[in-house]
Amino acid sequence: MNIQQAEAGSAPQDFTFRGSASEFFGIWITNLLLSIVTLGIYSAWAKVRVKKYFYQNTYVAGRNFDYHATGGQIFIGRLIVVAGLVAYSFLSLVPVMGPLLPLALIAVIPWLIVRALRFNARMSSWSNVRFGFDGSAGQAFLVHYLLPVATALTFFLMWPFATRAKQRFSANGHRLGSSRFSFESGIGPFYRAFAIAGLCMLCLMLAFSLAVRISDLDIGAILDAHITDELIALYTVLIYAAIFAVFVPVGLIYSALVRNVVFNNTTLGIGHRFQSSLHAGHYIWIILSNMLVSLVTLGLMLPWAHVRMARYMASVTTLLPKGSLDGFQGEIEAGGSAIGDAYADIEGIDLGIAV
Amino acid sequence: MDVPVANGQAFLPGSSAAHPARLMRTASGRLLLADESGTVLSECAGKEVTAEPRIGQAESRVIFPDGALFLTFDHAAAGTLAGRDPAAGLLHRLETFHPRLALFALLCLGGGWLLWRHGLGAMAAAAVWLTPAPVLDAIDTGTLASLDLKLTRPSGLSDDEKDRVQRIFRDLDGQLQQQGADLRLKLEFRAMPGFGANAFAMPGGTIVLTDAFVRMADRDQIAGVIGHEIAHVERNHGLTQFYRAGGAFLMISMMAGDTGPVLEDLLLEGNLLLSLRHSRAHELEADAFGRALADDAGYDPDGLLRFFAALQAESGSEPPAWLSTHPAFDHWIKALNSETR
Repeated sequence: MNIQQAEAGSAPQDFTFRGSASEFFGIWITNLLLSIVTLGIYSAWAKVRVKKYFYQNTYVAGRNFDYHATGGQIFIGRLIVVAGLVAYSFLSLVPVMGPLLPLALIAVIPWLIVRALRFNARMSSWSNVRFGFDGSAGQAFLVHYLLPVATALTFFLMWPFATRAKQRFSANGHRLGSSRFSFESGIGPFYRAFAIAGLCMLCLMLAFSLAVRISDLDIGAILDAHITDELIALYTVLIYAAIFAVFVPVGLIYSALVRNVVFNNTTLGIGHRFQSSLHAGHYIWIILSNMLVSLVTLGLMLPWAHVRMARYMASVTTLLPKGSLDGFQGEIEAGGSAIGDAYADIEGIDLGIAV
Repeated sequence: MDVPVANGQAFLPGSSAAHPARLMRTASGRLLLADESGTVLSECAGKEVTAEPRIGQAESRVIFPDGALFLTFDHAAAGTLAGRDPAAGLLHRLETFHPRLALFALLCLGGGWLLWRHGLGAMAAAAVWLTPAPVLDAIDTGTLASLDLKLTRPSGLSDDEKDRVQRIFRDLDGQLQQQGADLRLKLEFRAMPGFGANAFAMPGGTIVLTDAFVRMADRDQIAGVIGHEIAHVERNHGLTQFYRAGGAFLMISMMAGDTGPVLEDLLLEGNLLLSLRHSRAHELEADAFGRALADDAGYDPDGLLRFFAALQAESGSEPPAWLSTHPAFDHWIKALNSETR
């Protein structure tokens, strides 16, 4: 950084993760044991403890994050969502409600997404100041429904526009105290990421079909035997293999490149900036090796995998402060309910934020 | 007198500014938060302060009633000063890295196995019971529509051929109703090129027979196979498998927490594949049920067995799996034979 910034006390500040795998293993396995013993009830409190551990161990400029939701809030949120789902399936018994209910659910989901984002933001803080989220359900409807449809209609050529809109929705909606995040970027970098991902897809598909060619003998034998069920099984296996060999890596490459674009073009408040240098290859290596190690150890190495991932993600992220970081002001935020968060948890909704 | 003092960082309510500060107790028992120059940042009666439970080696957090926050690595001093409930530290002590955790891991593996073995079945049964009939109808309609789109053609059977099967179907259905079961069954005929002689059932009670099957099977064989498919509906086999797969995934993600981006997808698909293993037991159960139902309705109970034998003779030496979920024929015929003895 230049001299002016150094004078203002504005040296780049790296994110660091200070947790350790052995320490988190203790927390995780105790959580798991208590969750099993209580038939899942404790898992709401366990979720909070894990989030607190990761937030409190993530530092930037010598100050850490924190997570403030309580296990009780998460638990009640989950109860309401489960009650809602049961009510939904019973309401569908009423003949008139049949076609109306799915429409109602579709209409409610953007609202739930916004609630989830708002709850998570309010329950998170850095340096004693809470985050906030002000995006609207209308915007959520646009980026989660309309743009994906438009993307499909344009043979996915519009995908970068949809990605940018989604990131704008999430980044521009967030604030730290009263200081807004602001993300603005031309479409160029998004199309660049799209093109790189597309190129990788082409290469991987070529390699994949070559690999299938090599084992052509087996397929020929099966074809000769006219056994259709085995052919179906073979195609199923091939489709799964293709998904994991081609589409998963390509999806990860794209999301890694998008994260860099989003962080590098986001400002906070008076002009603090961010820098992300996520390396797609390294990112994929960590995810795939984490997965393999976790599977082989029946999940016992999952804590190690999480810590490894958090450490890497922090290590590629930097804050470029403009002046003092003491100027953030936040009001004392009221609680809010965890319904949206619980719904996103249970239905596995991908909020699509490049964190 | 040895008065504990904790050194750390203080934050005033709603501000990100960090002040090096000390937490101490006055002679009158009040708690003081003071910066380096001795200026009091916040104070309160000793009991009004909140000391958050510790997690790992991260800083202890002490919160004053006005919202001022104090962070310190002097865990012991902060605990004494803030009067932290010793029980609150129990979780933290349980979690510290220690050989005890190996025992925890073993208990988790054992408990997880028990839940998977017994808990999942109970959960799936409850979910099946909670599923309303219109949802089942919708599943049938949707599945049949997507099959019609991709795999099937309209049946080429004559009305006579269809009538012959419908009569057998009504016999079995009537027998079932005499036994007190009301399943709202429905029979469909489809031509399915490439699937050979085949039959399958959907959760809502729709049973589909292929033209090839109707043409190759005699009346006893048809009764046995329809009885077999009715068993799947009556015992809710399909729905149970679906809920088992979804329940296992939900259980893992609830208990173990986030599993990471790719592993999550793998677990979802893996559980669906694992549920196929369960379907073998279901097939054997359906065979026994189909045999008994055909017998009760006045058909030869060995029809089902003869059908499988005929199918195996036709397909040659390598026994294929019937719609990928059926046990290999050899195994199946053996099981049916032992049932007969």
